[in-house]
Amino acid sequence: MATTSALPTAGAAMHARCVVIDDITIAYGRRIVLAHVNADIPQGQVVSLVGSNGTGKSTLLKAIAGLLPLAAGEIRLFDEPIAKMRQHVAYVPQREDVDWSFPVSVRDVVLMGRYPRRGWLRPTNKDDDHAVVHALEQMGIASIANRQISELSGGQQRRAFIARAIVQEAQVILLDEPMAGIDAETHDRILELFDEWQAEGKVVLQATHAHAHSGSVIALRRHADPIPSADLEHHVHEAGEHHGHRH
Amino acid sequence: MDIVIDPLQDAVFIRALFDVLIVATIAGVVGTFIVVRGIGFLGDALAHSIFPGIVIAFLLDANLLVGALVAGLVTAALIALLTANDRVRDNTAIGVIFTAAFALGVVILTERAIDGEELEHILFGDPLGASWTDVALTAAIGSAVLASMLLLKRLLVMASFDPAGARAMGLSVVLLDVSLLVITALTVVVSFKAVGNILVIALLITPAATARLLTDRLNMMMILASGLGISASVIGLYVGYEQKSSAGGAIVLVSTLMFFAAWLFAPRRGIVPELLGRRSGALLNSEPEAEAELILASPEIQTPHPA
Repeated sequence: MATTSALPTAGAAMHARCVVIDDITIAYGRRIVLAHVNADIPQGQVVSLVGSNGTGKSTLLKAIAGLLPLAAGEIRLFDEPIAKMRQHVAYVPQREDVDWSFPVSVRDVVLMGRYPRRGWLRPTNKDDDHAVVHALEQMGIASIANRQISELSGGQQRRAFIARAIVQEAQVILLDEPMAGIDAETHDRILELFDEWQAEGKVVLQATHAHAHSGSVIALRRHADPIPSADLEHHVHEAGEHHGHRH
Repeated sequence: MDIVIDPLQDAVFIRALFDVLIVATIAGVVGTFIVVRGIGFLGDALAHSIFPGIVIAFLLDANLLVGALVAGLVTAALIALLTANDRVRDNTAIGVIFTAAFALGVVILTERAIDGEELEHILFGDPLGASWTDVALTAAIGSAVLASMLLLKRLLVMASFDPAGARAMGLSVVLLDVSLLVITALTVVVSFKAVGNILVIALLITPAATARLLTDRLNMMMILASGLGISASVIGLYVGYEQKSSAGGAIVLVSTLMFFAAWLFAPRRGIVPELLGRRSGALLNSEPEAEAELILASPEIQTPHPA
């Protein structure tokens, strides 16, 4: 159980409400992880989901990705239920959720991002190939496109997954711990890309252990923990807090 | 040459040849997925589960393949149903179902006597006893399996490699898992005539495991697994025919020999090349270009060859 606070950066241009988290409760069986979470995220935001272990960062991200059933409430994207809007959401899972030994090439991993828009059983075409090459170049991994994903370093594997998110051309990009265990260069490339996505009016939502570099913050905490940690203090203002104690 | 040519004039051998060629081809393709996903236990369980179907078909004087088909599909459905409950892990459900099914087969078997040779054929295969109906059924089911695999391949890859990402894109990973379950069941069903109920799993797993030692590419692995399975099947069939011994057993043994040969001598993954390479420094001689080098060390770090 945790409390959330959504705080747009002061002075940021307010676009249409893009992601609306409307009073959601998420439970694993009878254990309630998050209760009565609310957040309106406008377009063109890079949002960091911060909080210590076990506060439900991944859980919230998975819920927005449509991977978890909601016990109550609703998540909407451009005023449509999230289930209808999957095409507009890209999700980069946590490292542990992927079978890295699976025999698949970097190019094929990135191409997967085009399957939903092309139709699951339809062949991909030239446009898809161009999009893949472009994304590979953007992430600086075009030269290793034909390698097996298992042969890559952790940072290169992360870049391949980000490239897959690029070719999805989604409006909302969800990333679970994208900065965990990567080299400085990959880190910087991902930050540059966040800036680009922000400028294009997209919403970037990352669960992160590290201190948020910039942009907005959604902070999660267990009720038992003291709030806020020194790290978050300057982000968290009384005004933005939603309290969810009803249960 | 007569040893090779003569059997080809025997209709019994020709039917057996058709049967094992079809079976080895699809077992290689499907087995590749079973090996890369590490779900060999599932294949083994499905093989055991079709046993009561075969026994019942035998007692009813029906086609054994049809009995196996019904039992295989029922088992696949039961496993899918049981694993839908979070508390029942896949392997647990599989363990419960396949032992129960096998036990049912054993109980029916002790109630009604089955002739020893017939039982041997059920357990260890009898490709040389395949009828044209068997071959036709095998071809029909085999084509369906192969077509589904080709159609679903890239989605199966996606769902196996990154299930969370695939689901987030809207892919029904559960439906794909069930499809793979049914495809595996069908493969096991058509394979049992060739290598028998107990040895089916060897035809699914061994050629694919051998191929895994030889390549890192999924497509190449499927082609190699099918090719290796076909070679082993043809050799095993000749051995069984000439020696009047179990062709199913011979097929599996030849396949196993191939696996150990690859395990020892595979160019990149084999034990022998690795040992040879280590001893002679062959790696350094063949690949002078390293991908990375050490460029900086703090003054505190000593080096054995100061510049």
